[in-house]
Amino acid sequence: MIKEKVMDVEGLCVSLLHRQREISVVRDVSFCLEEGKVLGLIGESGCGKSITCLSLLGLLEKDRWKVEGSVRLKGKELPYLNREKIRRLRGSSVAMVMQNPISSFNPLLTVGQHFTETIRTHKEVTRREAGQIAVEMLLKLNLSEPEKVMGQYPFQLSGGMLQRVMIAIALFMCPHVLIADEPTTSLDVTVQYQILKELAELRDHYRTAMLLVSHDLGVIAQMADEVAVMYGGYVVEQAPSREIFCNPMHPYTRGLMKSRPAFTKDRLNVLEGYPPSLMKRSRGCPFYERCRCARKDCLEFDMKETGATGGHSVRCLLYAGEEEVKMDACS
Amino acid sequence: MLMEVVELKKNYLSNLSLMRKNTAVVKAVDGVSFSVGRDEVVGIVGESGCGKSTLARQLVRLEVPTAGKIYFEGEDISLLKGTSLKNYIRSCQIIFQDSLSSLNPSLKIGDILKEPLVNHFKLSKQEIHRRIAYMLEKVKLGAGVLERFPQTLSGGELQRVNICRALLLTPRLLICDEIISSLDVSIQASILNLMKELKKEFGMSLIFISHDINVVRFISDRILVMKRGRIVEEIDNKNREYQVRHPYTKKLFQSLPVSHPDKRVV
Repeated sequence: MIKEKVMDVEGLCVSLLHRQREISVVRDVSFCLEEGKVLGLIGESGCGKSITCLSLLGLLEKDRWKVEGSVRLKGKELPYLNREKIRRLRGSSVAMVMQNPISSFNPLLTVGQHFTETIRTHKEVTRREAGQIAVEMLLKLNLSEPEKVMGQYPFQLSGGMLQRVMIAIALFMCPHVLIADEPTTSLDVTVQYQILKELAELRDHYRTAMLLVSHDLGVIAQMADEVAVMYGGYVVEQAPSREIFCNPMHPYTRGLMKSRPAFTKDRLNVLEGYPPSLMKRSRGCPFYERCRCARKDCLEFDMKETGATGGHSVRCLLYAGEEEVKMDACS
Repeated sequence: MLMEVVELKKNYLSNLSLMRKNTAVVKAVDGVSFSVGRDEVVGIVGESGCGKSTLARQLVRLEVPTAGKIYFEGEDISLLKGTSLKNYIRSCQIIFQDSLSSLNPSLKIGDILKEPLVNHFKLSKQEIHRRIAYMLEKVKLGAGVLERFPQTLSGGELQRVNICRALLLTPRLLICDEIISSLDVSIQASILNLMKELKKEFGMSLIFISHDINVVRFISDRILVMKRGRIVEEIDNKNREYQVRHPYTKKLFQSLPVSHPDKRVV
């Protein structure tokens, strides 16, 4: 099967304009999404995951955010400057599922009205036809009694049902790209399991390229084909899923893997300290303060990719030279 | 036996409609019995709405049970009054999920930590300072936080302040209601380690409530699985060969995301 690059992000930089200052939030992020594949984006709160997602859809306000770099959808640059054009793309070519389902819906509109509004924006159909499409979509997501759900208001549905509705709305136009920003974080494990299963089925069915953002390594292990680890605005490590779980290279990824609670462990290996604040970002590696293998030259490090073998890229000085890396010293 | 809970129930009435006086009874906790031994960590897992938090709130008398009894060291806690109630509060502390709203936003951390000591003990100023400094060190916070307001601290630091405040009263039972759920993964791990250490050092019992099975399995000696207000299974977590029996528990365990891509079931 020929893999097709659907979305290609190169050198994405996003900064927040705040009191005459530019606070860089996303720094030099590059990745590409392939048809029918899932890219998992993992990182802690404040590392820039959500801002990356929003910027891909052009959802950041122009006067507060500065977005640089190139985002190409099927080879064409996204028309950020043309509001009308990008509005047409949203929902039809690129769709998004947000973390908090209840706040993503208008509380005054029924689920059905949400559907018809979206469908009629993109397709010339009557209200009744739109309703039929919606019911079909909801059935695909295993929602029981879709007709009843269509007449209900968001607050009458549970979190899992709402998330299904949101996925249904996102997918009815068969978008090329689905951006799912922590789609299961607020849900119970059993519901999470269901939703992930349904997302996987839809991906296979529609061949959608998916960007799955999560802070949960488990969710990523379950779903992703490729994984990008974000820290302090940078993608510090990126590799195929199996590779990153078997052979994590960046000290941060290694720390994350080790800090997972497990039944068989007596003590967890902990990353000391706290994630860096956005305001205080300085030169050099953002992980410096918490890193066990930090050296003096890390503070001068320009965060360029230092090693890239077999699709496994990492930004860490440990992998810069020819010298043998002594992993044990760091872990 | 430190605490014994017998057939505890809590019902809420919910109005079905604004106009008519239809009411439905919601059985949040529906006949729960369990015990907590000295030095034991009891974990409680279950999905949202299964009654975990209602149960926890009843144990510290924030909610009045509809039926059932709670005994702490052989005494029925619903009958406690005056000094004996104060003693109970001191020996049974609770920490909540939302670390920021548990702290008074208009007080500095130093004043927040002073309060329980002033309320429960007659101590000199030096002694209060000494105890706070000692406990801050135990929860691995610097003395710098004392002069700061809650809003200026990060989630992990705030939860440490909450733990510190609870421990200043040297409780014999500490109830942790989803204390790490809103924290980042790397911070979760450090708080979990801290709780394990502190439990050993101060010799207290813990009731550790979480929706995350991995977390509960890491810390607990015994796990209660709750569903719709009832305990459906008790897992002996010390026994590594323990096989879960109840269909709901099995479902919970099967729903856990895999730990490694190789373990995916296609």
